Amino acid sequence: MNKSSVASTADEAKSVGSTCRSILISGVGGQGTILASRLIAQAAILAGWNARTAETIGMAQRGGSVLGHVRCFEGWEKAPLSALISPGKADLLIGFEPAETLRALPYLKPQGTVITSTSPIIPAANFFATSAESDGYQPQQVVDWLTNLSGQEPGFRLIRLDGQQICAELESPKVLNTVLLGAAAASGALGLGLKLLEEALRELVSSAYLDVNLRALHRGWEQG
Amino acid sequence: MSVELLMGNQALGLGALRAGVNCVSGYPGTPSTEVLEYIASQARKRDLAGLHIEWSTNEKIALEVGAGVALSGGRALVTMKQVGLNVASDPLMSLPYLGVGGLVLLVADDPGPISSQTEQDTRQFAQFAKVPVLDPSTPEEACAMMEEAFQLSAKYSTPVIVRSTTRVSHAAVSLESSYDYSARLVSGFEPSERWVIFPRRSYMGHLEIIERLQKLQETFAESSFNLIEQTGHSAAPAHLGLVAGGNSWAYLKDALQELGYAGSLRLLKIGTPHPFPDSLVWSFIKDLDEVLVFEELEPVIERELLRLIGQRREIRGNLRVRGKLDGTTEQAGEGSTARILQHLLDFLSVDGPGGGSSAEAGDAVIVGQSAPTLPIRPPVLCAGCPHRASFFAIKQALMGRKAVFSGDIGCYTLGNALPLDMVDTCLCMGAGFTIPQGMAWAEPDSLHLGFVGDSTFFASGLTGVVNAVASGVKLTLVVLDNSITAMTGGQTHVGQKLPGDIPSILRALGVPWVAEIDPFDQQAARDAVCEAVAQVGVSAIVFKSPCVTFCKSTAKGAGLSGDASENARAPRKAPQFVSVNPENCRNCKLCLRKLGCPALVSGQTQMQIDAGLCTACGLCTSVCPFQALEISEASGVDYE
Repeated sequence: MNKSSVASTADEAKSVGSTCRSILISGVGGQGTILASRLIAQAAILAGWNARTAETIGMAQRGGSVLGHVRCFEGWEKAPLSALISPGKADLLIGFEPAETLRALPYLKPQGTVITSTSPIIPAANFFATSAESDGYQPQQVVDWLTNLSGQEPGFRLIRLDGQQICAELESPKVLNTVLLGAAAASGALGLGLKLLEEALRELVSSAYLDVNLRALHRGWEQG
Repeated sequence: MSVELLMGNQALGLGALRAGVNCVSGYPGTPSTEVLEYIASQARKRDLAGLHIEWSTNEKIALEVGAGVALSGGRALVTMKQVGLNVASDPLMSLPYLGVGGLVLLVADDPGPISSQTEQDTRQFAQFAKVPVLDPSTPEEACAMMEEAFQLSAKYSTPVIVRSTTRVSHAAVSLESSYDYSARLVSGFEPSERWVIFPRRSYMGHLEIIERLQKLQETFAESSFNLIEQTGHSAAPAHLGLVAGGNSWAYLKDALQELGYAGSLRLLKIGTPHPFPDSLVWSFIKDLDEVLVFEELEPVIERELLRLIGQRREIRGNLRVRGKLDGTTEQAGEGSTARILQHLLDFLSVDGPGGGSSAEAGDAVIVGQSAPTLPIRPPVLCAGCPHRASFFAIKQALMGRKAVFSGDIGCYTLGNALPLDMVDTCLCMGAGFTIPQGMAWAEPDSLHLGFVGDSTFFASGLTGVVNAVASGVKLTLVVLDNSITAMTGGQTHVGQKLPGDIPSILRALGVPWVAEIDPFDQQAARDAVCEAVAQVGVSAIVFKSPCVTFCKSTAKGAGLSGDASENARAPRKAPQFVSVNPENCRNCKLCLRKLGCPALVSGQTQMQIDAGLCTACGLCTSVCPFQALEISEASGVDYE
């Protein structure tokens, strides 16, 4: 992608007009997906938009598949009443884990944007499964499948990141969310720039973790 | 002015603060928990005077505490999830007979269900208990309804239920969040014979209820929470009508927008399902040919429509009501915009966005039938969870013996999953101590163990202990004491504020054999289990070890909820974690197969440890027969 053209506008929230920007976050409970959706919504509010979010909270948080829906819109006229994104309507899918990205892919609109970590989380249940469908999760196959699908009609833009590797370099296993947000901002599909996300981080993240999260955001931006 | 992203439950709390609530009591339960937490955090932040907040022992007690505040002329909010209302049903059924005002219940339903035992519908409970119920469609409406509920309750001298659902309670919206809190002036208790519920008084109370509900029905017919809308540009009168209540209204409006339908339709939103706003609904329905109803859980609105049509004869033609009862819409599970969109295509006989009868866009991304298999991800006990150690010790100690393990509601229900497989039954709060009593009478040749957590122990386990001691049944009661209400996100419970601990309470109730054990001391734990099941009557083991997720060093004994969750985000420096000795590890995965700990990661040539998850509990080190797992000093990496 042409980084400079994005960078010139990225620090201003792009007008969403009367339409609504829909961002779906998919991952595994405990990966920090809730903070990610809150950060996007907070950045949107800082830009003067309105936002709705819906996250999986409760039992499924403990290692289950989780979805975060974020919808950002200007004004209230024609605003969606529900936070939940319908299948085929997400402008951007941010996947924290390859299988969860593929699981959530039906929500993506045609020619939408997908940002995914390629680092898998293999559930312990995989070893006790008796049914064929849960047997043998092969992460590389999933990543290949995503890559292949992205090039077929109607297609989508796919940005892949090695989340585990990047987090190791940042010496924090818990900043995958901000890395992915940085990449999402750089892609232009988020419609929110770095400065807004930085400001949202300052409002939502405790001072002890602000620095590493800011570094993670910028690291993601470079990858996006 | 300040716009904030507020979750529906926070918006509900905001509404109560704006209404000058004097007391908030509740018992944690997904998806209701954050209402009380939000008010508690605001009370701390702004040092609100005149406001009492408590996590009560259980929902029944919470409602009775609230009723006491209301009887004294104050305003009380009582929060619970839908199954909690079952516990609180005893006082709820009688309160409208007394005619107590200033009392609002927030009950959160869970269509799906996502985190519950049942898909029960609190709107039906409101009908049963003869109390008005408000049903918000969005978080912002939830806020407005909560404020209005206090007005209605005071004006009509009745408890009022605000019924939320998961997708309203747990959705968030950017919302004007400012408020001026001024605690309602408490007028004081005024003695009256009406507060003593004798049968004669109940008859009078029943008549008052009937009159009250008639008045409320008229009030609701004018309420802005109910709406009639007309769509389309056509001047022709609409013959088709769509009705939706609660969150389904949001889905319906979004579905119509996605569909871009330009035809003529009449829409009805029901925000006050009981008492039903008859006159408004009649004006909506009387000239229509067909209506389709969207609502989650039970067909409450649909039945009311059929009742109304049956009562009034002057209807034109043959008005048909479609919904759950005639099988048109789904009778179980969560609603969604996509579900409603699909029904609209059939009802309106139009093509979907992609052409044809499918609600999906024609050029959507097709994942493909031959796509790689995706892993199933059931929720699991956290890495380092003491429940895993407790279950594993019992499993090891009773290997090969005939035993039934009765579970209860809490994180430890997850002990049901493989490889632990240690929860054979789970019914409702407290049943972990009582179901095994019946089993022990029916099947005396088996060992019977019942599990409850510490919060559940106080909520509804105590009476079961008394029953076991009194009946002399032979069973082993196991309290999994992690010093917090963990499943709902780390709330404190009443037991933490008592002078006596759980073992001393068990002894005081007459349990003859009681042991308290740290479950991570596996040898002592196994020995205690063997000794407990050898007793002739009731025995009890308290496995005590703090929750690894919510009990950080300073969280214990903290005030209200919120403290604990804030601590959960505090810096966590793991001084130690488990490492794999590559020379010893034979990659047999026995540790994973026995414990199912999420920090144990299967590698190509050897096991790996997810250092971000490992808490160095050390349980796996005792399982490895090759001494390949050992506790090491951390390398100074900061584990947030």
